[in-house]
Amino acid sequence: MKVSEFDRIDLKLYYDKLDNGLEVYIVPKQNVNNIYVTFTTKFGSKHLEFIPAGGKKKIKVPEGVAHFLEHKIFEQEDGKDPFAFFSERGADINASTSNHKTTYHFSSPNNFEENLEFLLDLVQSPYFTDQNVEKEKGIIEQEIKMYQDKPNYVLYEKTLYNCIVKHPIRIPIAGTIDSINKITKEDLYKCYNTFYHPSNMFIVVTGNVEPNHVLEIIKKNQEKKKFPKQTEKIKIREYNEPDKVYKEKEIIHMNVGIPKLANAYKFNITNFKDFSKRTIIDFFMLYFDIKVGNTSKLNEALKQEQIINENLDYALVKLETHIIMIIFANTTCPEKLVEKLRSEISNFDIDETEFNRKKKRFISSYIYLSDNIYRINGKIISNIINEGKVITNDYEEIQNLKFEDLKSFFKNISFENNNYVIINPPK
Amino acid sequence: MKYTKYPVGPYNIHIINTDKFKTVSMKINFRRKIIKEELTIRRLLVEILTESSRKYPTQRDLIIALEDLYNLKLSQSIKLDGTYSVISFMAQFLNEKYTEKGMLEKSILFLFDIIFDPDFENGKFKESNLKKAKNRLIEIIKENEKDPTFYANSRMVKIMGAKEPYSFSVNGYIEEIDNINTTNLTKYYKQVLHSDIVDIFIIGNVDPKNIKAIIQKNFGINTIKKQGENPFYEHQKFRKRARKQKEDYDSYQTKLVIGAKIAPLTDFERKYVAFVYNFILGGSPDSKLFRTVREQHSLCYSISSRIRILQNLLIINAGIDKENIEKTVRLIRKEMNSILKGIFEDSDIEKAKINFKNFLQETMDDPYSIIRYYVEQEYYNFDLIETRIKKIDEVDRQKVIEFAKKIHVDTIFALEGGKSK
Repeated sequence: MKVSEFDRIDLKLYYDKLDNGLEVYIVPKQNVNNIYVTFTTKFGSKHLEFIPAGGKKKIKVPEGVAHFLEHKIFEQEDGKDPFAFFSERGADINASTSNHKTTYHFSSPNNFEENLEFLLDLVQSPYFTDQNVEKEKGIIEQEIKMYQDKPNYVLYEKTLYNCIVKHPIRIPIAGTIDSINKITKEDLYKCYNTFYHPSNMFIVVTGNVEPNHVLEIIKKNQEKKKFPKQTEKIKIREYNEPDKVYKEKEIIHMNVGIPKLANAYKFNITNFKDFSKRTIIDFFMLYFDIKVGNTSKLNEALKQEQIINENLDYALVKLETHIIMIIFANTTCPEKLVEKLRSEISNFDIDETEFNRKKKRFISSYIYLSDNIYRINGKIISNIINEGKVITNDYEEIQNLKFEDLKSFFKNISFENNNYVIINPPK
Repeated sequence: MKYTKYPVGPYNIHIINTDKFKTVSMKINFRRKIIKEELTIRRLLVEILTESSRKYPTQRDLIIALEDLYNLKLSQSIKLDGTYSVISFMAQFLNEKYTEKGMLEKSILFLFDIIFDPDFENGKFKESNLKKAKNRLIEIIKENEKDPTFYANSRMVKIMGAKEPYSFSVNGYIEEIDNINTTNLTKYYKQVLHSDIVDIFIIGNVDPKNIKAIIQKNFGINTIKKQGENPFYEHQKFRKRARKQKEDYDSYQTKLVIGAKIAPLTDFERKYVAFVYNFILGGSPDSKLFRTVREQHSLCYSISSRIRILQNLLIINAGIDKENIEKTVRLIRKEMNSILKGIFEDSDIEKAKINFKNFLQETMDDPYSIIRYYVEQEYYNFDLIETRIKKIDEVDRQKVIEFAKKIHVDTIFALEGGKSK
């Protein structure tokens, strides 16, 4: 096993890659009781067009299929209920699907070996039938409706949809009621056989474990199973995403107390050879934090003028070729606020003190994270999905962020590709 | 891990010394009996105190100060716990070892400043700050009302007992906000400092004597208090037949909320049997409700039950389609009755026990969970972890059935969504 050390937080990372391609990451932490295990496939809602395993032609699957598949993994041929298995052992099991990946996970301080083996077997023995696929449609339909009743979620979804032209991140993760009703067991098997091969998956274990022991369990389990040889990389459609937004403005009506605004900015990041994608993301987070975060002058002024009562909020969305930054607010005058945001964002006038204070905050957050096995695990997953590897020198990376670089970076940034969505109360 | 309690008179100091964490976490609780007329002013007080202080007159100044304290995490909460209203001020910060010497004391004093050194003008809260706090509170209340789950649950408890503390709104009431001015708010603030029961909890790799000295030197409360009274709300009246009510709502999904009153419990039932009962009924994805209503009948995505032990309430929530209300209610009642009749496996009890024990072990991994564990001992007379792990094994089939007999379904409320896709 390869061992490396996380900078300054007293944690070690153990890594190995098995013969079948499965990658294993372990971070032992002896001063906690609990163990958290995640099993992730690099298959998320955005993977809709690809050449299936064993096939030659590209196929298109219904929207929401990754999430549907996540639900159906819990179906077992022998009819055993996985929830019952884990609950008999006092473990919590669950799963989640994002744009980029699907993760199955459990946590429990006890029965580690049994639980781990069960999770591996569960995910690696699909059992889809026409009947159990049909049954799930009612459940997922309710899940979609639950989200459609949440204004903040609808706002986010609509803004992304209007910001992006081609890339499937614009589609809701769970799909739509129409699209999920088209899903068949054949779709699920095609996706499963393509994306659930061990070489497209990885396990992350954090908590009170002994690394060699963990690896041994996984190895023994995997040696029992046969997988087809995977020689080629999975061919997934690439999207030539335009820089322009799809729709600049939209007003929708929903049951809200105070109007809601989202204002999104779209940036092409393929032309910055001097900086890594990671650094670029840090730059955007720093810049938006300083400009519209809760220590920004704008935020304070907007409260003073009673344009907002609560702080502005913001989020970052990653595409292969673009970064999207979205600012959220509750406000009684959304259009006026958009003007103010646009003018503030496009005006680079930040000082170095602020920049350094934010760096201090980034570093503190990194140390905070190291106390919590869920957050350590989450960091590793997100590194693998975004960077293709685990970053262990976060501390150094943050220290190396330079104000001059930030300044020169934003000199070449255009803020003109932006859009907004307003949710007003019912007419 | 070592726990020390110092009952110094005007307040209690609880120090948990452990080298498990790179952080120090601190929670200061102010509690008093719930009085409905005080709820709005009490909520507003929390809002105004944590927005700014004399040293940091705007929220921007305050948050900049937090960042300078190596990202100290300041938070606050206010809860109605049984018969008490509990305000908590919390600070979590990195141990000096990871920052610089002197930060421990600075961080503790920062939290004290938030409580004791507000931005006063002529001995009162500032008009402009009150205005901002009011606007925020109004927004919070309005937002909550538009959250269907929140709204459905608050409607259900109001139907159950509008005059009872379990149905009161912790955020207060919009129509009372106008009556609050800087004079009566300042007066109420002083009352809180003077007469609320105060507990300070600190956990981290710290020297208890040093912490105690810092607190006693700087914590500005010196009035001796009475001890707390019974925190558990006991129901007086129980309905023979449940009351049903519906309301239209502008949403896709229908929120079904069922509320049941629990008759007076023994100490043992409250601490142990309640957990087992709820686990079997609807406390996990392996529960009766989840298996029947979701997995067998595909009626919902989310369904769960929870027991609010301090209020003696059992509450069931499900998100369904409007046309399935009757069917879902029937299935839920059937599952509740089945427990009453003893139709469940011994293995269900065993599962609940294992989950209870694992949950306790996990509790010890997180600083605020450990604090909650000591809060439960201090306020609710809960047992030590070693005792809990032993006592849970005394729960058996008969005790679960006895517990089920104490549950009286009272109110069935449906917030009917009718929007089509």
